[in-house]
Amino acid sequence: MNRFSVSRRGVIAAACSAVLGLSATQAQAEEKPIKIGLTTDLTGIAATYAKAQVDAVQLAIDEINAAGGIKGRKLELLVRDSALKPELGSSLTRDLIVREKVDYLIGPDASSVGVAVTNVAKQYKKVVVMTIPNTPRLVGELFHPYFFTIVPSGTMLARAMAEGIGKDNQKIAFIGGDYEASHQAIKYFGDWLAKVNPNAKIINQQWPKLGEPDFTPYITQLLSAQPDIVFSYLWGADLIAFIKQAKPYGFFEKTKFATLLFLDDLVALGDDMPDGILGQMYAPPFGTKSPKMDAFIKKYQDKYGKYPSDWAVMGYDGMMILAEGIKTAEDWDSDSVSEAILKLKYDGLQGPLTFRDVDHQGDVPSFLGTTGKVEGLPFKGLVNIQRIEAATVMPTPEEILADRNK
Amino acid sequence: MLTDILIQLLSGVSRGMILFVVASGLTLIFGVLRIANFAHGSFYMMAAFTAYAVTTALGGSDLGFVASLVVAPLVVAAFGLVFEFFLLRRIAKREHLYQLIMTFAATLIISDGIKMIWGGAYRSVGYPPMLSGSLDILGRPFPAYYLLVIILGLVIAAGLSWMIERTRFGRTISAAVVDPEMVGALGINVPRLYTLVFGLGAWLAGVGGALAAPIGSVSLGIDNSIIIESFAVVIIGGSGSIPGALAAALIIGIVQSLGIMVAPRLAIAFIFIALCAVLLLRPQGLLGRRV
Repeated sequence: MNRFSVSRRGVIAAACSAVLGLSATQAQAEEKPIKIGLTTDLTGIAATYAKAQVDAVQLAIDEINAAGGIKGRKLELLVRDSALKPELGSSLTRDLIVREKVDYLIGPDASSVGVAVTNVAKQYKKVVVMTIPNTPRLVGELFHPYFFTIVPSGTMLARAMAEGIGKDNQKIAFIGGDYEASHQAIKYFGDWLAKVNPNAKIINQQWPKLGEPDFTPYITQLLSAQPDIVFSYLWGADLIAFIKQAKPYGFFEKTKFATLLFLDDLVALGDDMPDGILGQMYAPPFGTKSPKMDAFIKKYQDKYGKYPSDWAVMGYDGMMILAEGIKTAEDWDSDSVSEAILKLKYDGLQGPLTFRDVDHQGDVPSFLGTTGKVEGLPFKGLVNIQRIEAATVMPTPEEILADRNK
Repeated sequence: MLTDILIQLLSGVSRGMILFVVASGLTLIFGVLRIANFAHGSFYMMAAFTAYAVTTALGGSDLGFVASLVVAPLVVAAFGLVFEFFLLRRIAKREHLYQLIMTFAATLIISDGIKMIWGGAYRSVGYPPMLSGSLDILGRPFPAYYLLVIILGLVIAAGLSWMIERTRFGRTISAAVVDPEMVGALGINVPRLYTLVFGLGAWLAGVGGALAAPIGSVSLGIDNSIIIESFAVVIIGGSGSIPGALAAALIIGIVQSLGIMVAPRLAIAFIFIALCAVLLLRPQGLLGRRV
């Protein structure tokens, strides 16, 4: 309805200017919008994350456009649904570049699609800012100069968890969905554990399939291993099912539990979320107390009627970084913008953020805390929240290069 | 160790019971209407989302749970009746392929409909407060809710058996499983029988969905695994056979639970191994009739 009336007004305006014989060519050339392409998984198990990403990117774009755009040009967002299929991610991104002529890309959702998108970006030399995918392969063997990420990588998260679990926990059991990211996580976790907590051992590993409806057998297996703590790489619907099924077995009284945790999981579980779980989060809005974050939460809630998730925080920051890069670049082309982003000192929702040369990884934090009631939140959040700075867990440039040349 | 196995066994039985409730509906529809109802998993999912809506509206109370267990299956049954009466019946005389395509189309429509109403986010339904604790079985905790599932599953199995053996409607169903043409020739309104059986089947999928809602997460895609397992139950148990469905569902539930203790990475394969064994050795299913 709204869109219709706007477009009708546009048509009338165009007709008027044509009738009046105004020479609009010069104005039009300047006002040609900057097209941003976003391929993401709007259907499938990660659809909620993609939706928050699209919403937050759109929020950022609306703000930039309301302030007059970039160098007089408005931003326009083109969204495509890759439905968790890498081959669709490739073809849709290619189509956005070739046919729709998008100028820049912003990151997809699932890591598998991220891999596909970064390859297309490399092929066509398009700047891409990733805001959800975090497989270490993106900064490793797949790296190219037009790629940027503001997501804590799988390596950074696994290392932060290995440290966060603490030295008093020595017998560690693992449960994670049987797919690539989970296998990577336990590997990096184990490597870092050997460094920071050499006495600890991973005594038991459980690999349910993704989308497993019944975790009971895994729950009893984990318990009979009698670990000090269980490290989980379950997320989303799987994590919810696991927690609900584990609770009546007294699981959370018998063992400590440390897990990857998304804001969406906290919202879905509500009061059913047990207290005292060690949760690791990417970018929870309640993890940062600042006027900037507060303003973002309010804007997002006013527009979309819900509390922003980690993905919204990163989506908004990612779009703002891309915009500042375009603004400060000498020219519109990918090389200039890439150079400009690398020089940015971006002041984001979670504080200052810069990218490093070697892998274009943003020095973003991650968060650890224990689940519990947080003042002002309608669902449970994290208390005793600890901000893990990137510097402590980021692989060194030597490690990255060694990994890339393997 | 023994108690571990016992607990595992019980949890396998409770898992099998939900599968039985859902699959018994599928086997009835398959046996009587001769339709492979792909939408059966979607009925299950629809019930789970309806149960979510009802329990949330009633604030996660015991009453909310009971209400969801009553309302959700009825909503799904009503949907099933309408679907059969207005759509499936129209193409009943055509090739079976068209009916397959129509039930498959229903899966897409239902999942998009759910997405439109509830969005793509995953949801969670809490256990009813009264059953949120656990019982002590040989010194090990066992979730009270699972016991309810087992009991309700048995009640439904008994109820269905009674209905099929003791009521006129049930005997007509058994007759239709064996020879639908003869049933028609005897002056029974076969189309009406089909509609009712389809509605009953949908109701059973609904009970399964409402029962399963508190155990896992309620999300788009929960229809996938249940429909595959349900078809496996129909094939292993024999089409149209309620006792067969019960036996097959329990076998699948138990084998999967215990299988994880022995060879966890192979657990998902067990169901298909059982399926192949039955197809090779007893193609009509454990308790099915030879056709």
